[in-house]
Amino acid sequence: MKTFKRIRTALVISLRGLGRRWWASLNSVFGTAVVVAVMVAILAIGAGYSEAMKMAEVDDAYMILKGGVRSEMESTLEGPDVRLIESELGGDAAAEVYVVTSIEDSEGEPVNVALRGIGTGSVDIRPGWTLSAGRMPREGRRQIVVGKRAQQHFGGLALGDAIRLGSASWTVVGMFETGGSLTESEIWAGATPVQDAFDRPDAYQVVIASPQDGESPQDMQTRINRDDRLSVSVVSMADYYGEQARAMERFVSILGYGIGSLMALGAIFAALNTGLGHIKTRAKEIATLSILGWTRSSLTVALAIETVLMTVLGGLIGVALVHLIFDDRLISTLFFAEDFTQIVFDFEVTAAILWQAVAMALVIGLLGSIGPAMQLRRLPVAQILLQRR
Amino acid sequence: MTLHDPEIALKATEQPDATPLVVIDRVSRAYRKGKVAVPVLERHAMTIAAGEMLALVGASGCGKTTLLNLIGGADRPDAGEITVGETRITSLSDGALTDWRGRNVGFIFQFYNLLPALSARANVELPLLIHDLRAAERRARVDNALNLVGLEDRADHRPEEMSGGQQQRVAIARALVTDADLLLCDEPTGDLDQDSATRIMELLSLLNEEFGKTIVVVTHDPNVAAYAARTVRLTRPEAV
Repeated sequence: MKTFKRIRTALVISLRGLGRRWWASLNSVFGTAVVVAVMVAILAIGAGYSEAMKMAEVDDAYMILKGGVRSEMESTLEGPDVRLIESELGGDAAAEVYVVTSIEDSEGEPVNVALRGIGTGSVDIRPGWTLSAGRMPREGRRQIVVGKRAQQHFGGLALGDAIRLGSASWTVVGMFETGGSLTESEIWAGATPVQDAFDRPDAYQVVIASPQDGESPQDMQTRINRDDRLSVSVVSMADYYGEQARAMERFVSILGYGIGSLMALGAIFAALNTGLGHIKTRAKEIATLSILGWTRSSLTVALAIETVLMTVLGGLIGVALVHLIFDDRLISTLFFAEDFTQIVFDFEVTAAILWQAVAMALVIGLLGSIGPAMQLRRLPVAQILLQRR
Repeated sequence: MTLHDPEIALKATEQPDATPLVVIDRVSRAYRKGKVAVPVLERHAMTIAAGEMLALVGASGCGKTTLLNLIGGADRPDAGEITVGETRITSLSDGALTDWRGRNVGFIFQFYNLLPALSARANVELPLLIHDLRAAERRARVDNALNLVGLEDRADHRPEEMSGGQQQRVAIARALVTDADLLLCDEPTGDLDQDSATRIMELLSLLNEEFGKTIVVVTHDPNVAAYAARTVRLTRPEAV
């Protein structure tokens, strides 16, 4: 109880003197704020990306690609093969064309965007898909419906706009939403007009299909490949996008934690430097408290708490900065894991990231207070009290 | 009579008794300069009576401040024992020694050692913060101490807003506020002009004579030493 009282009073006394050493304290606070802001920003990009990927996953939907191929971009399924597949699977399948084409973003810069030529079952097989404005493209017409995120981020995609994709001009007739998933970065049109505009007669990239009860992707692949004329790979949509998400997550985590750790090292030294500076400027105060009955341990703990308070405050400021600057912003990045199209997703500061940020600030404060604490314990109290300053 | 008795305004008439308050038994203390041990005190022995006012004088480096710090538990001897009242302070753990020091000793330094961010009142209150006292009692004690040193009207001023003499009086009030029996003063007038120095020494004499405080003053100044009932001259031991 007495120890707690000593720590508390030492902390209060120290905090009352903050105004006299505000610059050093500010240094520590903002050093940590910058570190935490950078780490949170990078991790929030990763979280937003992963979330968009996860939302693109549709339960009970499999993607049938050309045999030995793992991405839509690499896959080509000729028309006759697609019809054999559809006949094997029955009604629950939709053949789709997938091309990457160039449009201008809202700042006039050329960016790659995914254009998906859909079949009649494409919408039904994606339960979260809704037409939020306008109407669906008419059969055989060069009309497009645009994902909400694509519409927000890229230029010239308002209802009624005409846009050049491939060799043809297209009219925007509708807008769709999928709850913020990766698909919202795409533009959809009928499969045949896309094949025509991109000179891919009767060629598709993927067939999306619903499995029979309990059928695994491997089962479906075996079933289809029983026909000697076909060679396909079947992967569940969840695995397909999950793999992309994991790759990005790994990359972003390495980047976030890597850069964050390096910067944290700098922040630890900044906190350490600030702490050592505090010991130097507060030597008289510390020695005075020591002679008046405060134990070294209580003063050391109070110093560590103050350092941690400063860095945690910095961490919270860092998180707040990220929120102020990036909240509600859409991030656009290359979907490089697959095909270098531009995808758009929310910046997402999750609770886990928030805790990680606070933990990082805490660690910076704790590690940064070790040196000053050791110096405090060695402080020659009696000598310091004899000095003028 | 204690400083915080209700009858504080009445003049005490008690005289110092001969009961020893501080017993220093063959105490040695050396400091290291590189590989060389420089002895400052060697098998030093002396007794300070309760209620005595004692001056420690001697050349620089003869161990006056060291002895003062040892008596107050701010330093530990290499050998020997020190007993203050009933407590053998050389046997106490670091924590217990700190606790004992906070309760039983008032320190007064040449450069005051007040906390610049705090008012005179808050500085005087400092030693009470770690004791189990209610805010009202702390306030009463602080008011008493400030009244005694004549600074009740400067209670809300910060050290930088006060003269050296006033700051030293705040330091004295801080030393008094726990009602410690033993006041240890290291060159208490060393940074003051003659008038302020006289006032400080008269105040210390008052505390000794009227309140029975045992006071040890380290000084180079014969005028200061003259206030003490006894003067002990220390000499520097031979280097080893």
